[in-house]
Amino acid sequence: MILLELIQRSVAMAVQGMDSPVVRAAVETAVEPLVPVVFAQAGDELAKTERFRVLLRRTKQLAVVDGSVQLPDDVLSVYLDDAALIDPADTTKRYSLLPWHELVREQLDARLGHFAVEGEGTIHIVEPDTPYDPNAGPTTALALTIPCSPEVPASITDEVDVPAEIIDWLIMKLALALKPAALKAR
Amino acid sequence: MINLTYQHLLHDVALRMNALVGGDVTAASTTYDNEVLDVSHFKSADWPFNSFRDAILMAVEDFSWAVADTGGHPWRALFASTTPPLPNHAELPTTSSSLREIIGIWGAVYDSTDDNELTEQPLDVIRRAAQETWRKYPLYYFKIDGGRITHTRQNVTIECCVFSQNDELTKWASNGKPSLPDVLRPAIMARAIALMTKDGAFEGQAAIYRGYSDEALARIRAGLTTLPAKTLPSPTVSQT
Repeated sequence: MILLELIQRSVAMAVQGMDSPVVRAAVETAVEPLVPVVFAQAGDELAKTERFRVLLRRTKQLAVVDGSVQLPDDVLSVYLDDAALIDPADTTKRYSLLPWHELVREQLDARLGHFAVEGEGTIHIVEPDTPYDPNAGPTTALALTIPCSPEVPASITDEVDVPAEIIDWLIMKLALALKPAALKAR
Repeated sequence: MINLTYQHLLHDVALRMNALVGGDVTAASTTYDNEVLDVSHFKSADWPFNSFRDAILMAVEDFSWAVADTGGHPWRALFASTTPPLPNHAELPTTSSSLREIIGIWGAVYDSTDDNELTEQPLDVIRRAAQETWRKYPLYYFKIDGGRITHTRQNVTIECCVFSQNDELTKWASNGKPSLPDVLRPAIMARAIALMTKDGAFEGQAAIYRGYSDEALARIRAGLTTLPAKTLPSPTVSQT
């Protein structure tokens, strides 16, 4: 479903039973600032439930430079335990998540690659059979699959890239968020 | 079925004004039965032949204005046109996209790109929306105020009615159909006859016809498409 249709459905739901040009204008002018709020809320609330957390998983392409990369804003880094990091160029490689202090202090298993998060924002990657070096690391493209907040499309005609169950949730929550504006204008 | 033409109206008016050549009923009928009347069929010293044309055209214009002035009247479709694309805060045009003079009240407003209809909203709502350039969700609002249109789209077109005397004159010359429905034939005729009055001549009859046509105009302005009952004097074939 494209973003335009999602908003139109939410607006229709919000004005149901009290539709008029005045109410519709109040809702239509209020809807857009609420979209990113509701999308972020979807990430926060739905990820708490394991069933929905699976539905929120997205694959992010990471451009790793000298062993580190900044996580995208929509990544729910609190769920890094559920993440899978792979090298698209060599899918036999495995990367294991470690706490930051273990990555930098412990002897690493040479069979595996490793990654850890520093300060909840930056991932550090260590390739298999390589010790951690704070001043060096691989420069490569990796793919991180992890629960993310639904992304607000850049264009109103772009697809909202989430499963149908989450689309329904977004429509309902957006409509509920619009109800006060509709009731006030009625 | 008659497809109303300007010649039908000319026949109607000329007969009721006793203007046709013919000393008796038979001779008058011979004149009347000509499909196209011209100056040779007219005998009146008071009204030149072209004054009939002008009165009928003025009557057609009166009814065209009445239709165009009445929002939602079904006959507005007969004069329907649109403005050129208008950007936000544009001055309202006086001519349509076909360069015809715009008459009557404005109709619906449409986005000139995607054809979605705009709804009228208060000016402050539109101004605020227009300033919020971050918006991606399209708002379709407009307000006509002070000779300008303010709206939230890139360009809009407005439905309008147009009327061109030149076009009607061309139709007259080719015995075409006036830009009005056939059912208005008695009303147009009555209006034209009422307009033919001169100081000291035909005033009584003109008043009767004016009353009928005024009532017909009032009905149109009330949004109706039915005419008042015909209580006009019967046609009188020349007695002289």
